[in-house]
Amino acid sequence: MSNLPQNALPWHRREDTWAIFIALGLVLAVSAAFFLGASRAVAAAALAIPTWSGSLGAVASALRAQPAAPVALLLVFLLAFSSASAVLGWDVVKYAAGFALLFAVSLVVAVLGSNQTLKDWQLETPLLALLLGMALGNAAALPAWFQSALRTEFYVKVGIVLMGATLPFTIILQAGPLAIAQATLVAVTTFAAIYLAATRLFGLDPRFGATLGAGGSICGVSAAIAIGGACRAEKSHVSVAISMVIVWAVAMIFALPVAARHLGLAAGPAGAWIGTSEFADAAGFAAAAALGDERAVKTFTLMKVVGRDMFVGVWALVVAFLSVTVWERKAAARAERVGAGEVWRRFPKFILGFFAASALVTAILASVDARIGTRFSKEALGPIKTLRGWAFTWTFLSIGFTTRFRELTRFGWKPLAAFALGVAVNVPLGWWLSTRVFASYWLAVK
Amino acid sequence: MVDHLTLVTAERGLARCRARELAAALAELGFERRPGRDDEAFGSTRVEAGAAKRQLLARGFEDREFRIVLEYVRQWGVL
Repeated sequence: MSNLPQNALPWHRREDTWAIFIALGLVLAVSAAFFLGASRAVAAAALAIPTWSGSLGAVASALRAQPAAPVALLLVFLLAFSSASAVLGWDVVKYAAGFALLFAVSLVVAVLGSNQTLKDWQLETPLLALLLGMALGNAAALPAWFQSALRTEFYVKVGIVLMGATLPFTIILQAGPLAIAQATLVAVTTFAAIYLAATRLFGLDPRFGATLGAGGSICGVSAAIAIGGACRAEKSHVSVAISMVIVWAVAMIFALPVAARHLGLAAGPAGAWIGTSEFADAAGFAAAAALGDERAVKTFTLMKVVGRDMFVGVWALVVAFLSVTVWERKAAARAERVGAGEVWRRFPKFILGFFAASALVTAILASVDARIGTRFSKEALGPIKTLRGWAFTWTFLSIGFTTRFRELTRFGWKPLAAFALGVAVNVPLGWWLSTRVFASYWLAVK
Repeated sequence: MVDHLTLVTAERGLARCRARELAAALAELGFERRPGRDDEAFGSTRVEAGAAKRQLLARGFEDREFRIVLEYVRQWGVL
């Protein structure tokens, strides 16, 4: 049975709406608890696993210090996500059971990912979650009730809105234009490379070329879906473009952090490079988080969310116009009309929550004195970062569990070659811009 | 990997009789009237946008008489 696009649903039944509600609700609740002197209650649910080596003594001590934390953390998110699932039309009982198991797996992964030896091998929580998920998901058939809790998009949206709370609006305003400039340069170049290779070199349909180009240059699967819809690409072509994105995105989760370390890149430029050259939000967060430095996650977010994701609607408008005029060989005056509403229709709405969370926290910090601001950063933003970390861990596990390589659509060598050519343009160009041309800006993001 | 919804609306200002003909043609193609603010919207989760347009043009409709919106949505488990 078909599932309906978000725009066809009432606002309260959209995944983006609930991701915003839940994440902003958490930010408001944590902030209110701080000002009401109840930060300890919040800390009780923000379970943080300390780094350990040898025996599990440090982890046991941390759990003894906050014995209710795992249960409180589970209950907070179980309640929030299950409420959302009821409205979104998922089977609540199956979802709740599945999420409880996903949570249990995430605890194990977080404990393992905090081991010093595994960290030394660069196997921190994000990569461990992916590897474990992929190994289990590809080796065994997962029960349906567990599958219902594997909601990569939902968790990453919650994580991105929470990310907004930890990224001051002033940084977005300062670095935003630069991120947009860098992202636009790379996106236009990569799109053109893939589109021209697909249509001129390999003779593929222009709509197919545009969908492939969007997947490789704008924002991965979301862009392939948005641009494929805007230019009315065939369903089979959209599936091929998605397969391309998944194959390359998963490869880049492992390749980009390794390359960044090998090249000795500082966290800021490395995050910006991943933001420029990774293909999907969830995969990119995994790659940026694998560097183990908050600055990399911040610059990644600025590049990916502010620089790239935001503009998918504009791309859709342009491609929709090209589709009904150039590709249908019709003069604009005779062609089907394309409305400017296309920009809003394809805009990823959860980004509004990201900006709202950032603006809210920035307003709070601007309205209190420096001493309280420092305390707020520690006692409120600290737990929010921890909660964000859990949302991303569920994202990475969900990517792993749902990435079934044998189920990827057969794609043939032509789209693969066109996409690979785009990758060959995108990755070095992103590296050059992030580490040479704009390095000082990315180094300045703290 | 994706599901889709093809939505067709009569272009604003289209003569009523022509809009009725468009509605009839869309119903014949398997489109259903969708409840909402715009009562001229017809949707299908089976007919792809390209096919819908070809069919409408073949039935004598002009590009400027209708507007097609195609939306894809991920199936479960797609990154």
